[in-house]
Amino acid sequence: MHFIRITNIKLLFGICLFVSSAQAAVELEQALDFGTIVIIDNSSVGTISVTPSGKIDFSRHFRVLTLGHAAEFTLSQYPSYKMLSIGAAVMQAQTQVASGLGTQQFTLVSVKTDTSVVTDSNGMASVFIGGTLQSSGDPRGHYIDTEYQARLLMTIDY
Amino acid sequence: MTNVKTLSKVIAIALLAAGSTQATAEETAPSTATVKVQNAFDLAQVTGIDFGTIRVTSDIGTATATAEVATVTIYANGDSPSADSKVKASAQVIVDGAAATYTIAKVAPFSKLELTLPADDAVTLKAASAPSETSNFLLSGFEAYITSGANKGKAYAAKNLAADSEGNVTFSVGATLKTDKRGTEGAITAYVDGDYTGTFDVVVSY
Repeated sequence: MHFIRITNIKLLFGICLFVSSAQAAVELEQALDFGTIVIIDNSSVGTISVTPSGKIDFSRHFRVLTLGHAAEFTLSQYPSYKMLSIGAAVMQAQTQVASGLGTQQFTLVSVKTDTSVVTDSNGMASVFIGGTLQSSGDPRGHYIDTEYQARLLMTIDY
Repeated sequence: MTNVKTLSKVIAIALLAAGSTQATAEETAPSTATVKVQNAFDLAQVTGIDFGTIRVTSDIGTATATAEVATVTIYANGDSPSADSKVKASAQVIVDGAAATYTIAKVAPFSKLELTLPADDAVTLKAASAPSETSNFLLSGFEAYITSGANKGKAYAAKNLAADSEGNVTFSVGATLKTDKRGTEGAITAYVDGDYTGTFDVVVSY
């Protein structure tokens, strides 16, 4: 019996280590996208906003060719029915273009998300992040036709 | 019994350890925010403006200031061309011409676009192989007519060139052809038989 008890203890440690080392998974389903736009007026600052629920607003400075959408993350391997605190922050506000060509840039002035989310019975939850983008408002400037990117960060505390 | 107590302590410690790890956990996930700018769109001329085949004379014997001008008008809305002759300058249509036609694509749906046409007398039609003193034509009275989209069937005015839900719109352009009036000061000669051509820009913007 003594030998058996020692074996059980080892097995128990094995289970506990597995649980504590199991990593919660965060998967990006789709990045925050402000869509494809036309800039018809850069004489003053214009804004485009996408709410976490996907509602899109834009100022008179733009026309929208294709609609954008909020960022969507899928959280998994969390405890069931656990309330998670969610945060979102701008990591790199000034946009960049892959081409490296000279152009006016946008500024990601803010990002927004619900402050908490509750996991389901499978320990999963979805998080949506919206944001607001500003144009330069420089009438001397010109935006080339290309893709512009800024960076943001989501945090999950539990 | 001693062994059992030891096992209980181990379980408690292990569970506490696991629980404390989860209580302080934080995950971070970086991502991108993207916007694509597409200011450019497609503007294509389907057919150029054609004044047809005409019989024409210019007033080559009068001073420029008082020289007479005959005209041929191509209407943007597709109405039959008209000609207007004077005593010393004349124009008659032998074969009808037609308005120029254009297509616009890939603009923002329902956008109202601004159309800029050439100014009066800014476009000259010349015969490629004719001597330089040969009479030319001038174009004036450019006009546009919307042939698709929300304002189909309307003359262009005040930025009413409206794209449809797919970002497309078409329009036609007409103008008036005027005979040369350089007269005696320009020392011009009569028209020669042949094609007279010129180019002009049509500018479309948001």
